[in-house]
Amino acid sequence: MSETRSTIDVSELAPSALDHRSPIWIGNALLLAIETTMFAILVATYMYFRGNFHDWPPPQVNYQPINLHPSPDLVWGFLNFIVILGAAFFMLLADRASLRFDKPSVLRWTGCTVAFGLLAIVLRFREFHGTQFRWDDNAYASIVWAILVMHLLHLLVGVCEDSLMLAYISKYGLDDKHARDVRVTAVYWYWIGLIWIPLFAIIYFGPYLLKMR
Amino acid sequence: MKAGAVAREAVISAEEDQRVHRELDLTWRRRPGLLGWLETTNHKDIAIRYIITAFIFFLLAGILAALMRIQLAFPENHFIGPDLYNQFFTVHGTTMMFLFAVPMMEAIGLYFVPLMVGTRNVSFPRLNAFGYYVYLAGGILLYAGLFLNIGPDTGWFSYVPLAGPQFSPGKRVDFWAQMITLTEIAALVGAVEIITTVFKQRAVGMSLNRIPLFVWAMVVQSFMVIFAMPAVMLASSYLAADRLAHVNTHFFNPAEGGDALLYQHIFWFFGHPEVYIIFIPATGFVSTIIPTFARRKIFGYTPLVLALITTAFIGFGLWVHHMFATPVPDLGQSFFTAASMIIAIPSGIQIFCWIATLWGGKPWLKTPLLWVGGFVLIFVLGGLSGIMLASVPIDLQVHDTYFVVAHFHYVLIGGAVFPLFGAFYYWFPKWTGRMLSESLGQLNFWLFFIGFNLTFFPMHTLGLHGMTRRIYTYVPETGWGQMNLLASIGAGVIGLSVLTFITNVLISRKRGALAGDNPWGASTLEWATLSPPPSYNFLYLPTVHGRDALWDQAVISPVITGLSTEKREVLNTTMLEAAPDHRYEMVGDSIYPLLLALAVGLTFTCGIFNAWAFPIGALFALLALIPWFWSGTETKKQQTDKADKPQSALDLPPSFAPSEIT
Ligand code: HEM
Ligand SMILES: [Cu+2]
Repeated sequence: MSETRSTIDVSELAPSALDHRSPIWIGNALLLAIETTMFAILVATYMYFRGNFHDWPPPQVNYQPINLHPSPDLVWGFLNFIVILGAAFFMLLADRASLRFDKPSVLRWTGCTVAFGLLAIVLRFREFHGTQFRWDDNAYASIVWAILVMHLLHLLVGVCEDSLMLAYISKYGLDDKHARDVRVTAVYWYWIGLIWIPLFAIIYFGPYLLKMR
Repeated sequence: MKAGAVAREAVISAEEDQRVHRELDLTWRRRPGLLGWLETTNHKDIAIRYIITAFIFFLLAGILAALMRIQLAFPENHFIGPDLYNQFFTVHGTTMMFLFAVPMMEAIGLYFVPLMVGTRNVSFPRLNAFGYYVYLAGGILLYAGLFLNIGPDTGWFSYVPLAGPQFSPGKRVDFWAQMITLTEIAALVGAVEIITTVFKQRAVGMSLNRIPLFVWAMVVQSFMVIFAMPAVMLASSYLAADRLAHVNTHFFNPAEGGDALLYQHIFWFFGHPEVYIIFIPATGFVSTIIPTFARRKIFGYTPLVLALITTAFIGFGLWVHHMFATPVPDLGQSFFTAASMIIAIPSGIQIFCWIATLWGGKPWLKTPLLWVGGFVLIFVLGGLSGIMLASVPIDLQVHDTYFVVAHFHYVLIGGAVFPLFGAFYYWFPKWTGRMLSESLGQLNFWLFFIGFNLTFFPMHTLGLHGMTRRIYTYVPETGWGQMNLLASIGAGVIGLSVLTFITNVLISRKRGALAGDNPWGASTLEWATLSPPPSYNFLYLPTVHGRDALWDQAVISPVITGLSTEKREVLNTTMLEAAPDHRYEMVGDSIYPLLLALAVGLTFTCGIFNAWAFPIGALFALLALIPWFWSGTETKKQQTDKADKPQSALDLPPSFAPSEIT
């Protein structure tokens, strides 16, 4: 028993896509939507707490001498800001290189991102110190630490992902799927950099811009 | 059409069908044995587990409700004391919302969305398995607390300051807070799966304006999950951090600039959309069941889709109506009152479209339609008391009374549980290949309908008479005794109804009438394959020529060929038009999702007691993640398995004719 059926033969279609047409790209974008929502609520919390204090940031009275305007240490903050944007920029180069299937460049630039990412993680601990507060000093300190920690988590995830990719590609080479994965990870890093721009501004300039009530 | 996809007339023999079936089955089915069972990433396996687990949680929470109703049946009753009562209503509410309603809706989506869009699995199969296992971990955590008699006791929304470190010492609230994190991770995973699958894997020809309404509902719901769940995860994490020794943040500590009202804002920013996260998939069931049993196309497809989307948007602008009893500015109160009334408009549109569909059709009064009828009646009643509550002066009078308890059970049970039972009766034949018994179904429905109204209608009056919620007893002089007794009897009737349902399932699973592929003559693609569907869903991926895939195929539509049968390969289509775009190879089964879930679950469990659990747990999680990503699309074991058994033992069953069911 045989029948004639109309068919659509898709065997000639590409076996995968390197860009936003691939499911993993969409999945990653949705993940970033979730994370962005989370940061939006963290920022809302920061703003909400502003209303509960007379001075912003609240004076640091737990240590001597008392600091009446203990704003976070801008020098280290700015340095790390540059490093984080640098890490994202190297991922842009890796992204471009993976479009050309240029394995050495992909390895080189991803490696740079890992190095800069690690540096950013170290500097982040200096930033904690620079807040001049411990997380349990008051609500202001809690939320500033929370924002720094949540962003740190993403730096850690980004570095892990990139290291895994480095290991895989240097061992097995750069195939279609991993070129795509490099590109998706790059999007993740752009987001890490982009989201840090407003967060950085709020943490480091909030104490000046929101000083007056 | 994109270059690369070629339309052909091909001769396909029955032997060819058999060969394709064997190869696909070998590629897609899970390995035999326990390990295969734990490793599976098939969306149907995972979804069925979700459904059964969520139903068990429904039963557990139902038992707690029954115990509470026994306690309240008589004034000054001594059946359970105040402490246990507090734990019971908290765990009941928490279970119903987080462990039953949301996962159940997502589970049905995870089962049917891939089938309805005509593909073989969800986009990220391993992630999906992980989602189920963390959900299970969250549920076990909550009940571990309850069974150790240290269950949470601060209500399903655990307001601070009551839930804060000062007024709730011990670990009770922490069980609640970490359970939230685990189950919401699962909810988010499910949402990402559903959206990606719908965006990228629809059958060729299923453009946006042909997506089945249930699938639309799941997409809209998933977007709501994505924007709502982070809020509750943050609220509960702030709370856990405030409570945890050596962390002791001050998010909700007014003495250090924290704020208790902030908790309410963040919680309800999630909490109100949560109601729609539960309700919107239920409207999807209704929009699927009604055209099938009215035997005509749905009236008002476009308004129905727009109503869903509008509901989702407005749903995020209502949260303050849960906080009218707090110092919200007057203008804010008016705004949120107005918004709360406006949301009745899209719901009204949906109801009118459904009525119009039934009106213009020849309704076939089977059990699924009966449940839909119950839904409309009860949900409308719940909506009416909702409109009353949206006005601030009334709300201030009945806030925290049984009027509110009546209202939210009317919307939650009417809006979610009734459609859900309808869905069970509707889709049971697809899951098992057999029909549920009609007569037991009718009994099931009427017992539930009567029991429900007996239980909850008197609560309106009790609330107006001043009975506050969350009290474990009352004195006889209040005169509340009779109505409470009535409510408790009603709860017993609901219990009987649920038992009827379980009996029906157990009997019909083995002895129900054979269903065939499409017993109801329905129009969506899940009915275009066997019941239960084979591991790979469709022998050849289908294409679609209209909104009602199976009704609009005057000529047999072409099928997709040229996908690998030896790899888990599916077709990706374009987002708007669903034109063929590229092929997509899915990852194989793996044990690492389970191991990762174990690591995550243990991390949050230990995190209840010590903050160091988090960094240490993260290392274990990494240990599970590395091999997860490293192991490619097919594990070695699976390859050798295939080599060992070159042929699947199964034959392609002949498609039976729809059995006579009248
Ligand atoms: C099946 C029959 C059910 C019965 C007999 C029942 C009964 C009850 C009772 C006695 C309470 C406690 C009232 C109080 O002391 O304040 C309660 C609370 C609650 N119920 Fe149900 N319920 C049922 C189903 C459901 C369902 C299906 C849901 C949700 C999908 C649900 C959600 C809740 C919630 C959120 C609370 C509030 C808990 C709290 O105060 O924190 N219930 N229910
Ligand atoms: Cu609400």
